[in-house]
Amino acid sequence: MALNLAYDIYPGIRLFSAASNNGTILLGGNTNIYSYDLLTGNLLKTSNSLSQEADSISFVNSASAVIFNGTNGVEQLLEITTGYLQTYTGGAALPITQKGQLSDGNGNNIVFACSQNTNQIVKFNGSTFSVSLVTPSSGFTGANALTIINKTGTQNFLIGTSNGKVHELDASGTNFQTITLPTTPNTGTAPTLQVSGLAYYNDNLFVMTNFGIGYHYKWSTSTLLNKYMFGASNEGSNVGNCLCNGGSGVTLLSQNINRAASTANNTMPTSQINFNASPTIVQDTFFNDFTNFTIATGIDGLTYTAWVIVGSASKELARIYKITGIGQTTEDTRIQNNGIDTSGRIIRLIDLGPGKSRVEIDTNIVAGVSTLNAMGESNYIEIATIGTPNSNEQADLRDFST
Amino acid sequence: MSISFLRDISITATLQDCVDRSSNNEIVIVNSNTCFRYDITTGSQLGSNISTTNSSNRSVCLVTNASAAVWANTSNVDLIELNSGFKQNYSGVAAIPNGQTGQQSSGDTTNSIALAVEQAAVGKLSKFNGVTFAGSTVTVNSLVNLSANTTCITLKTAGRWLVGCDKGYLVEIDSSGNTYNIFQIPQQPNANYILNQAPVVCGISYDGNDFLAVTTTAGFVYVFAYTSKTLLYSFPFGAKDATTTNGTALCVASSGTTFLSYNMGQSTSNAVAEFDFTTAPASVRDVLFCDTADLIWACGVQNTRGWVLRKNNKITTFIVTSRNASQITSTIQNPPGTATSGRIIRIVDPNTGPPGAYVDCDTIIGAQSTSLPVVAGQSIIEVAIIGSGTDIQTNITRYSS
Repeated sequence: MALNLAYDIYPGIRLFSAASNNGTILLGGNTNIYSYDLLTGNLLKTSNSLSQEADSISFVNSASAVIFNGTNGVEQLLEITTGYLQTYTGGAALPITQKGQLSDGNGNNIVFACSQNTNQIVKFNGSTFSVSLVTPSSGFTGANALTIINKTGTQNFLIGTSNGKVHELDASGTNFQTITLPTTPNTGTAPTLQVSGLAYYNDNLFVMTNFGIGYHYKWSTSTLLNKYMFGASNEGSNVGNCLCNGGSGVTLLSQNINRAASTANNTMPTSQINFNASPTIVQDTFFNDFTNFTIATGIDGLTYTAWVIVGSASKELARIYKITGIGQTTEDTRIQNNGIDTSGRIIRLIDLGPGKSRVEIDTNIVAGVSTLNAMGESNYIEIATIGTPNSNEQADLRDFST
Repeated sequence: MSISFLRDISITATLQDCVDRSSNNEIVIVNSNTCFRYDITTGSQLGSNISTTNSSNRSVCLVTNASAAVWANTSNVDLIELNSGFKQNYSGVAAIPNGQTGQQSSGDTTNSIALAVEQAAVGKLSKFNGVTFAGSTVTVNSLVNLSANTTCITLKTAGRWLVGCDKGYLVEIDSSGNTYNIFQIPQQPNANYILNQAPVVCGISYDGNDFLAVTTTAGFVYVFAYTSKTLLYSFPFGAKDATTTNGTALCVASSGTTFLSYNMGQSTSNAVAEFDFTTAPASVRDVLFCDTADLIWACGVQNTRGWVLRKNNKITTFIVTSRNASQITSTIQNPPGTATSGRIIRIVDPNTGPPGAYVDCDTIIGAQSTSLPVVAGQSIIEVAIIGSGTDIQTNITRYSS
């Protein structure tokens, strides 16, 4: 459960965007796209003939990515291995630049991007090779999309807006669900929350805002589970802290605080956050040796790497970390009484150390072996109980590591 | 569990510091040359303005429940009898380095002693003795040995203070400067770079039952089990540290609740969090959006009333509803009859069956009976753990809180 430095990439250009997929990271800046192997840090390919600044990149599939721009409605499709580029029109400019999660793919050849047009989404269809503008169905009004992620495990998208809402849309723009982030209590005037980051896994949604306040929801019921304050500045960064989509309930938070570089002991930290169960927990924090604003973050589950990119003209940097504790696995369990399998209750705590244990599973199991999900590379405490509480209850405990 | 906005109190002055007057539902505020008293609930001023001797006031704390010490950027201090407004000036102390930052002084009303930080001199504090009516300076030898300057201070219990320092140290001392405990804030939870200076402690909160929360000007929050010095939890919170004095503010805890304030230069609004650091993991219970960009310099809570001191001469007050917690004592014994240190995990079982169990408290206790909080009126599964790996020993009990 840790975040450790792997290496830094200095591509020699100011970075504006990045995306990773299956061991490859694409770094975008000016009219260039650089492709690197995340495991080795080796440069794989340079594509330097874009017709526009690469302000957002998303993989369409493992072989191609689409590039969006903040000033025009032109999209370019990049064939990653060859560097071949194809230009498409029919979209709209991004509403903002120098921010992550402005676009994302759904794993089925559809990419959604934020649009400067109120109440619209840019859609790139990698099957028909076309670009269009999608107007979501009811509920999505009076706002721009500012943050887009794929709803992990589905082909739908979660869209965070400039008026503090999160919507779930399918690829045609049908709005299935909307939540509104709370702005109370306040001292008289409700703030305008903007969604700066999203992460989703297994019905857990974590939302970051321009005010630096994070919200953890049980998405299916729109239940607010808990809040967090991480801090953010809107004086230097465009929206706020960065998040990446957490494929296994782990996300990366890169803080963007109005830090003075001259002040002693300053850092723009990167934190590994676990939101697979409530409450959200900070597993680890990496103290970066820079105070520059970060633009985007990501986690690559294939190579167990995580990354942030720095958006300063004076700091052209992609920092790559090794990350642990992001895998999913299973762990068998059973309850026996006098050597005989019996049914009972399992309370399984993921144990990140004193002060940081949380109940991950609380369930009844039948007699015999039961296979339960668990996080990889993690420590657990498991309590088994049989009988009736406050009557004839018996309990036992084991600890194990995955 | 929640914050409800009461009101803003506006005072035409450049406010420097504020302190609760215990049990009187009252706050005492100072600007550069005047002391004010206000009723938190009604927002009404109590008594008249009290002009101070100095025109460079920076901090205020109670000496007794009837009197306050007003510290300034000078070598003398005012003692003010709050109800009458009578004041007397005393020499022998040292200048207070920072105003508008909170926790620069702290009084022990039981023993009528007040201490204040003296950042310019290594290991030094200023002291006012409300029994002998004498000002002096105190040397903390442990901090002299560590070359650490004092940066913030709060009362732990009668006769004992917790003092934060600029080298990441935090010490427990008495009024003579004797040291009883030393903490060092970790340089980094995950060390890959050695930063150029250790953290500067800017906020301290002790819950009275072995939980200690500390903030630094770099914007991190650390929660410790006090007796064992175990770091239970840390997370980045955020602070604007264009100046080192505008860190993340904390206040004395009330039932495990303290307040964390944003100081980040938000252009539209700052916020205050109700922070419960006695739960595991530590929890933000509620967030109050303050609708201006004013920096928040200090905060406080007194029973069910809280306040924050803001730039531009405002005190924002609010009603605090803390969670309903019980204090229950735990002791780990091994062998039976011999207390030992170990880990306590308290799991709330609201349905006395699945699902819904959650961890409410997870900490390390020392080799003694320790009072810990847990949500009241629930069925609790408590796990005691000593050792680890193949040497682990555990015990599980169930009780009602």
